[in-house]
Amino acid sequence: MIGLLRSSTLAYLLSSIPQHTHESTHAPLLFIITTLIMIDNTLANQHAQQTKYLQTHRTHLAPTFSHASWRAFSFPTFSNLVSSHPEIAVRMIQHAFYDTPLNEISRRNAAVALRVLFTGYELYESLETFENDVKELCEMIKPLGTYSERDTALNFIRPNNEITCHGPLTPLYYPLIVSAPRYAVRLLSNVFLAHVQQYIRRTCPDTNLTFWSRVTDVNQPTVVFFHGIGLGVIPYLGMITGFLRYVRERSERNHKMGDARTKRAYLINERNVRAKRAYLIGELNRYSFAQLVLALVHIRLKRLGLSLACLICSILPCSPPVDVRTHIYWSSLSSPPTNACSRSLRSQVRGREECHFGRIPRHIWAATSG
Amino acid sequence: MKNVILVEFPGISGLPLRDSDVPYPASSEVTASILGHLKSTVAPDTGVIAVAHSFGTMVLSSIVNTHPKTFSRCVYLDPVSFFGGATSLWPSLFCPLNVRIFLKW
Repeated sequence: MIGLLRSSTLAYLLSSIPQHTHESTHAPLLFIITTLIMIDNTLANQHAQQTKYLQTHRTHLAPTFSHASWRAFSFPTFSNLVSSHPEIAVRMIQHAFYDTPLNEISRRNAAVALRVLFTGYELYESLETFENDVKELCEMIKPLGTYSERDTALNFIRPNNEITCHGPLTPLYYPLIVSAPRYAVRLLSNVFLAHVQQYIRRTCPDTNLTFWSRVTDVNQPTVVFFHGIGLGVIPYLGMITGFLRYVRERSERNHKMGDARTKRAYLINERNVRAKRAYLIGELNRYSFAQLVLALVHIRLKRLGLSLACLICSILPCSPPVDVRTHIYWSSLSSPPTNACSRSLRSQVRGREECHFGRIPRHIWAATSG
Repeated sequence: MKNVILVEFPGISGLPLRDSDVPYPASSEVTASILGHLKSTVAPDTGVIAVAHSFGTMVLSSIVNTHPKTFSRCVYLDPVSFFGGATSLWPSLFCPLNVRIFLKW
């Protein structure tokens, strides 16, 4: 799963683990969250190629972290445990690392542990066999889509080409738990642009470029913005806003800037009144924004024919019964989870004692420590 | 600012790839697409100001090199300065003056 480890999301999570996790309670949480994300093996429907790949090769690449029933039980337990008793989670993490103190567990140890946990190292007799399968995986995961051959000189715009990427081709992998919130945020932005900011969306059929245009005054200059790759623009947002204001003031020297009353009248009296009134309510606080994103995630899942329970279960490398899924959902997302719910879940997975908690082989741990 | 155009590139910045047969566009195709949209949207002789950040600076440089009269001003935010095999993408020193005016901003 080295190819999957190259995902920018997972790389970010791994890089967030401090080099030495000094008594930080977020480290076990991050460890478990990363773990849960990485064992996503159902995937979103839109990742057809990755889904096909994993469905074909999951037999020897599927995680051997533990038995399915144990995973069905452990997910809500771990989730609740980390939030309520981080010290117990720390103890469990230390146990997984042969009772090593937490402040001695390095980022590299965590990275290797994740790799071992999710590549099923226990199935392999030697490291060479394991590495061969990793190479096979990298070979199988090839770039999505095709390249146009009309231009061979400057192809820098295409991702994963010999100029922008000097290493192996690395398609991005986004599990459902990442792609669904990302889709929700994008949908929220699109709604804001279309209904509040009055932008018109157009997609070029030849290149798939999307243009958001708002040209209302033909006598004024037009500003075209080209975005970057990631979130690097955030420090410059104030500068861009100031620049736009500067251009507007220069082009409208004789135009009086609208005061609050003028803006309010504009927002209420013109088109899309309801959306504009919503805009007038003010900034969303974090709680409201989280609720909005969660609602949009739900919309996305419903369009995919899924439910929130499926989202949670997509994290689990198992297919628990429907009623277990329901309990997992409620015990994971509801706050606080009820004891009755936990008891019910526990009773359903009781009796399946063949679960096995995989541990890192001692020689691997010794080789990576320090 | 009343007149703003935002350009989204497929497969960049987390934009999901579409389930279509349209391949990744080459730089010339991207340039042609942007120019076509500007031609159909912006009134002539009103001035078009380009603001680009990071990856967008490479796209902007490509357009400026091939069509130097497209933009009246260019603003580069956190530009890609060192880009292997693509140094020719930066606007030439011999490009028209109106392109180099951005240095004064």
